[in-house]
Amino acid sequence: MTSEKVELGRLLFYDPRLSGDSTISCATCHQPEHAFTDGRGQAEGIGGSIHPRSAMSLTNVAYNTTLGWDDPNLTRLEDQILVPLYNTDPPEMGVTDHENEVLARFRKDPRMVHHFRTAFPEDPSPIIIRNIIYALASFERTLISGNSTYDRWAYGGKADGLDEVQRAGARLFFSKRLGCFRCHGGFNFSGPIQYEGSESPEARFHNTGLYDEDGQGAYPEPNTGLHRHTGESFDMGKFRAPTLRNIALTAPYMHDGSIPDLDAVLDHYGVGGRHRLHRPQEGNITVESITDPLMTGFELSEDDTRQLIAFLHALTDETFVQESKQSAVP
Amino acid sequence: MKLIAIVISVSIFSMLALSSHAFAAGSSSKPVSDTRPGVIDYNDGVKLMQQAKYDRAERKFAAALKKNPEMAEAHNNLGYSLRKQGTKNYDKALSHYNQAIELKPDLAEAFMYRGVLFMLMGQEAKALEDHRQLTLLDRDLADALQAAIASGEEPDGLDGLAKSW
Repeated sequence: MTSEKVELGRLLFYDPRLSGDSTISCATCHQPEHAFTDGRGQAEGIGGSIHPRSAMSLTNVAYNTTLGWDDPNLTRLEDQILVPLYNTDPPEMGVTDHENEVLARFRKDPRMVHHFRTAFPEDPSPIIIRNIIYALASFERTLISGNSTYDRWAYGGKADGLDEVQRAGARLFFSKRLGCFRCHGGFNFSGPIQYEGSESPEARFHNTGLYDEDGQGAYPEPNTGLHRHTGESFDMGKFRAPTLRNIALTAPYMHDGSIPDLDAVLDHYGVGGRHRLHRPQEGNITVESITDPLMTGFELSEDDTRQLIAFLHALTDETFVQESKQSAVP
Repeated sequence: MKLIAIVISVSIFSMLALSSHAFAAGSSSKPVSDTRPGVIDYNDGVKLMQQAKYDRAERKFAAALKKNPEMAEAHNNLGYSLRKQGTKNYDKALSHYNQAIELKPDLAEAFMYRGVLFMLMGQEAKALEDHRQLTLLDRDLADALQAAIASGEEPDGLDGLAKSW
């Protein structure tokens, strides 16, 4: 990773010439003002094609153990980037069968030729897909957010950094009663993370009781979560817990954008999942079968809800958003 | 704002640079054949502490320290044993955590439970300072301390205790 690769990656990230018909850039679905999401429930790709899932935030994406909503094997940014470029079901950026056209656009642009040569000085023909991917991954690894109101309280030496309402919300968020931090944990408020020198944590996926199509807990196709990769019934509806950093900017929520705002998200978790699956067992004992056992539900007063939402807003890193917007390529 | 951003950046990149070790190695006691001064008392103290027999554990750690005053781990666990016996012991417990850290500035467990003690004493700024130090020593413990400070609840388990010596 070099500053030259990061700079090239930044230019490519915002450049629609990277798509099959020059209409879509990475930033179409990963917009800085939405913490690198798009404000849509389901992402829209080339030619108006609708993706079944929502665009994930790129906030601190470098730390993710896995990428995407539900793929346990997608662990490197360089591999993830291939998905939007080459996916045909549905097409996202539509590069499949248009590679040469895409590369030709950059080869004709002296400015981009210069940046490719600078980023890959030892490569005699640097404008190739592999280098595009390396540069994009380098840029995405610089999308580091750690200067929210919460961070100034937790890490910045400002013990009064959170106001009273936000502080009360933090108390609830980290309480054992609500247990939000058990899935959205650590400095990234997410599932397991990795960083230089860390051990390789096991990826975790959770069924949060969003759907029960058949009385057996089925999720609507094709969004069956981890199940679509493993085929195992017990993996039905399991998705990765994304970071909550900048979460106030990334509505609507969940893998398919089916929850419109933070109030509704809290309602969902409060009831332990809107389609919490109970499966009667022998002896008339009701146990959970698929819904994550951490989804126990909780009661919130109006004040509690207000405080929790204030806390979630305190995870917004305005510096990150502003600097990302300023560095966007028009 | 810029200074804060730098501090946060340094903090995050420090996380990257430093290894996150597992909790204090090994939960079993050292063999009796370990003849270092104080080790038998220390290991007895650990067993008692794990059984929540804090008054007896306190005496064992104190005996270990009498034989080996440089044992930072014993100071750490003595601090915990004292603190679990009630608020009247908080100042004394704090003194032992301070000694543990003075003797062994990289003893993550001491920062972990001194931070919890500061939280219980209502000294949030000091608890957060221990959390910041802990992020450089042990990310897992730091996350547990973060949750404890933010919630005002003690962490589950005994992961913040020194178990081996």
